[in-house]
Amino acid sequence: MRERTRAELLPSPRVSFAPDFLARASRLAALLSAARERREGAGRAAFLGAGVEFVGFRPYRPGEDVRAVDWALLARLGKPYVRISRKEASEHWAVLLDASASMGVGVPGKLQRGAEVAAALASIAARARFELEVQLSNVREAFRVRRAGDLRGLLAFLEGARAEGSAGFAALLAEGRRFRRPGALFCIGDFLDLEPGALLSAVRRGQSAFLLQILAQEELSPPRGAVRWVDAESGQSLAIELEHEVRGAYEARLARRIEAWSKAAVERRAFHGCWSAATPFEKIVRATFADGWG
Amino acid sequence: MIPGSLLVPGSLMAPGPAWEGFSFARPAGLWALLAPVLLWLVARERSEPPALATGAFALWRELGNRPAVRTKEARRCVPPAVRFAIAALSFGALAAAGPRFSGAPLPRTWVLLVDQSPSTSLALDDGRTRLEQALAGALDWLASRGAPGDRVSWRTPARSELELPWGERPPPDWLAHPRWFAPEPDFALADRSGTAWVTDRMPFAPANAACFASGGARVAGPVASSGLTRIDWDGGRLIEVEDALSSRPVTELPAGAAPRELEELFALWALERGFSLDRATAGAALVFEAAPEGPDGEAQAGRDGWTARGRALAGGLPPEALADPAGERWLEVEGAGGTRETLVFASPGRVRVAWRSFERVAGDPAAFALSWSRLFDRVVLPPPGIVPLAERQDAGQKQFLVPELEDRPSGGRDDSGRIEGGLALAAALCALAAAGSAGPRRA
Repeated sequence: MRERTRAELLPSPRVSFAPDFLARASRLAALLSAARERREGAGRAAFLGAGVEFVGFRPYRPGEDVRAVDWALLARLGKPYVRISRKEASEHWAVLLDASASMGVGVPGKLQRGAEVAAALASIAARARFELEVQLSNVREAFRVRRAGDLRGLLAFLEGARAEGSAGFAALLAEGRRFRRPGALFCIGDFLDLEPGALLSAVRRGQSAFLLQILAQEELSPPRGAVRWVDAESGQSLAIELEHEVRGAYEARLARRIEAWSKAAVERRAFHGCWSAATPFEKIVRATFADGWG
Repeated sequence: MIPGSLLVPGSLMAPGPAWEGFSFARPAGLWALLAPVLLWLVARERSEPPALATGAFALWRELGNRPAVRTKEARRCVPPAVRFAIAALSFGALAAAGPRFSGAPLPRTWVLLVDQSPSTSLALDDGRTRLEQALAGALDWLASRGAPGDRVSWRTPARSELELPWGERPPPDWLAHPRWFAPEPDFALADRSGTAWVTDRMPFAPANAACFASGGARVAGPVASSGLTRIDWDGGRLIEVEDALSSRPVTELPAGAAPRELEELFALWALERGFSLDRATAGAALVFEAAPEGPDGEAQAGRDGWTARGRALAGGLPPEALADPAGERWLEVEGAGGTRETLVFASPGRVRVAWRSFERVAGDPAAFALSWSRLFDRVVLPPPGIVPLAERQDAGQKQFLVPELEDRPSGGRDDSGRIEGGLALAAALCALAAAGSAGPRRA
């Protein structure tokens, strides 16, 4: 199939953020932070926590929680500083977003939803003063978010993404050195083009791994009648009469694949979740952090 | 199936008794079958399954390798509504063409009514007799209309009816002109489809029968005889030619075989008419036959002013003696049980009597003699070549009149109405189904 025809078949190859997206993402981040505080305790201890090693101070950044300010140092120096724990100092999140052609399937597209989840994660990281790096599978350069002000740049970066090519996580995993630093690794994609072991083998000991699998509605529940399926990446096609028996067989195979990812994640103490691209990003992120983030 | 062509049994359909008699009353209606064909082609082209991109192609490919799934792969999906519409158009086109299945055609029996009156024995310019020319036309007509399996009934007043297979001709002696003046057939009683009149002069225009009249100019020649005198007609005048005829024999009755009075009367008549008495029957102008062997009985009968009582063959003449269709029962009597017994049977050239002897003849002896001599005069065969004057007249122009032949009757019921109705009903049901199944498919 010609490249142009293949591209025409992808209903949602681009990313577009709604005007209120950042507001929604900020609200989500505040909710999750509050939930985290309730879980881990309020005040300074909420962030340093029991057994967290103090490593130093850093200047207060506007917008940060004022409860983090070290008042004793403020009194002495007249300038606000905050304490830095070893955990906070080393908190670095990496988000790997699959941008291969198959992510352009579905309405809304898988890439669209994945990008929203990635941006929401960046909002959470910025609020928690973590550094976050977003890497697209088909773009060489990653985007780093260090503060809240970087979020708009991240949205622009993601809106420049396009679901194309066949470079998925397999290509990213070949550059394993890039993912040694993160304390948490978020992999967002459809996971249909690789096996669980291949991805989880890149997760280092002590690294928190979150496998966020997003599938299009027609991939989870195929329509009835005759359909000519087209491989989004290779262009091969196959016309099949989707009778009840055939649809049932497909859904069973898909369920087994998803189950295999879940099992592998459990074995490696990673998180795995599978959602439809129609699921709002808030729900995906809340489910991801339902047990906290590390 | 080629639209527009007439379906003749066996021409386009598979041969065999199942398709005999099948045809379309309006074959042009078959052109309407192009509509469902075109609709099918267009729908098929437009009914490609929708293409959907997927990231799970590998899973579908695994399923596609299963035999049950692969067989469905190549089928294009013409929507059910279109399929029903195509079926409705097809049934409608067939109904419009008017199919009919009227069963196998029955063999028919033709009738040839042959005029063997003396006029048809006259020659035409080409050397053929008038009858030969008319018969040739009738046989050509029969050859074009008939079919193997048909029968032909040959009829003429001078002969017994003969029924033969289509294509066969009667023996020469049946077709030959009789030696007596045979009358014309009663054409008015035979004006029916499938009947052909074979004559020289068309009596009237038939409404249903075919008529093959040879026509013919007037032909001069002998028109009568009296004793040894022949009367000729030259086209304008009658001319007597004395001693132009030679004496012809009549069969002499064996002595004692018949009543003496009849023997004597017959001998006198023969002498007067110039006949010679002979025992032989071959070539005789008149054969006077006595009663065959058998038991006798009392009999009393008469006519024309005389009555006779005497001994006669019990029960009268047997049936085989009365078979000549040109004959007549000249004298009958009511026998025991109310049956009619024939005592005298006369046919051209032959008189048969059941009387053996007269005991008493009552009435005027002249009347007795006159009655029998008139009978002899009437049935004696004319000399060869004698054709009555009226028969020698101009018979007009040749006229071969062939009416439109009605359809050959068939052996089965005409199911055209039921077939058309059934097809129309099927078309209506398919149209309803098409309307009902049209619209978006629910998942």
